[in-house]
Amino acid sequence: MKNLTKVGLGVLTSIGGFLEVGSLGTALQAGARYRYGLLWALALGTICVAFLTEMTGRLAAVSRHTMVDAMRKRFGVSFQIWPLMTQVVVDLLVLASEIGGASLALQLGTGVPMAVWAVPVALLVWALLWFGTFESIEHGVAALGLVTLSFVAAAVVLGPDWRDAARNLLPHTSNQHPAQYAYLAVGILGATISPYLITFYSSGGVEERWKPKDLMPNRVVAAVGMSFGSVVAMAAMIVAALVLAPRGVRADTYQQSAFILTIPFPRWGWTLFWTSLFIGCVGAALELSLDVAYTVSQSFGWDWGESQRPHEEARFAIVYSLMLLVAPIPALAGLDPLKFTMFSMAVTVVALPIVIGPLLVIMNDTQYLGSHTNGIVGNVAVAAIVALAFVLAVVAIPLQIAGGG
Amino acid sequence: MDLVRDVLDVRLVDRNGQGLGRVDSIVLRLRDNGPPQFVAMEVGLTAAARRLPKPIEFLARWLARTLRPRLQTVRYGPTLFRDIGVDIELDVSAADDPRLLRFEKWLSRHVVSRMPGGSA
Repeated sequence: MKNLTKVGLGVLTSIGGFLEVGSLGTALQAGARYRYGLLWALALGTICVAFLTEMTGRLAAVSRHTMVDAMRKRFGVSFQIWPLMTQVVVDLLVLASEIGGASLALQLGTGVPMAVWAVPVALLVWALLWFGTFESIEHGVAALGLVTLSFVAAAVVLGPDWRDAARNLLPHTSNQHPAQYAYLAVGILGATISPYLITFYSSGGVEERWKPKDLMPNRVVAAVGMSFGSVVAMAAMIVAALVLAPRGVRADTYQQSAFILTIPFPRWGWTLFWTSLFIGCVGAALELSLDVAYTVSQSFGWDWGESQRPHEEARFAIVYSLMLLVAPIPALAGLDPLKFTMFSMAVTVVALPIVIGPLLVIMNDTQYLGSHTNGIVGNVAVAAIVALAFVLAVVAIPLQIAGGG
Repeated sequence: MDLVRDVLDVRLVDRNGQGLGRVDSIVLRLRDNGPPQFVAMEVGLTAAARRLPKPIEFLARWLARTLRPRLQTVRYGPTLFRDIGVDIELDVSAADDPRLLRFEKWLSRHVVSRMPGGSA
């Protein structure tokens, strides 16, 4: 039963990777424009994230230290300042997108404009962090996140061609608007292999006081948790292929796609869509706010932990509070969350190599990992992911210019 | 012990396990007749700033001067070592020593504890 509750960390992490405003938005756009043609990007992203989270979870379980701890010690402050600043900027941009996404979800549910909801949403996220504990947040979001399974139910009800879907799990190109296809593939991979997932998961493992005996549960949690988010995101793409594509809807904005679940579920579809979007965005916002506070605190060696009272770790609490003070500004200014998130994702992709590159060294450090350093499979996997991250970083901005429109 | 490998950038904790920061710089005394002598470890924004690129160093120094209470660099001598591993444990108590964690204590007392639920 204890191991079952650990899955909550995997599910919470995967909500930030697969079901937040950017990931859901790109999945819907990909389904609407290329039907099942980009399922492979989600599958590839899932494999990468599962490998990376397993590694940083292993680091947490064996050494009781996080990836940021190890990075600062192994590479020194003169190197670590760059991943730190990069991650704070990326986290803040994506956090602003999530606040916008949750506000938009409330607009869809109530008809009250998004800008009105931005501050209440930020206050809700802050209150959950300020008054809650890591465990209550983890289990609460994991339980509420089950509503996103409505996309899986919708896909089953709509009855796709499963063989066609399965064929598209293998990477391939497209002749139809290839620049836009490549842009969406990079967007999906960028939204999935997000640096904050990796650092958040390792901090979560330390918060939960994982020990070496948790190594096997960590593998299961990394695989099951990431698969949860991946399956829901794939289902969203399939539903978009079956509902949006035949109607010629391009899913340029969330407002265009919001009716998607009303076709399989006429009575509850609208509510299921906006509640799924709201829960995904709030879950991701919690994850991102904590991740900034974790990253800054660990970089400077402060005490940190969501399970302590705010006055016991004042600097940690002040960091996430300041982030949530700034994050509602784009939504207040009325920026479209989907357009803003596309920009945030391009920045995330560019930042990816600098954050995950050091894993090549850290995961082979016997002082932290003892006999649990990476084997040949782990090293080949992380090298391949870092290489992929470099390629994505190089092509992200040109593709946004060529295919983003 | 290799000072750069085993001490620099390592997290310091007090005897109760409370984090004191990271070793941002190491102070050595140069001697005519022998190798340099290890004098102290420094923890603080201005100590770290010396190792950062110039524009970031400038920003860090400005922050250290501007914030109240001032962000002062704290020195710990080698006699305070209790244990060296992934972290370094020192024979001090942050809770009892007013010179340690001044900014954290000030924030806790003057900001966080005054907010609803901050000290509950």
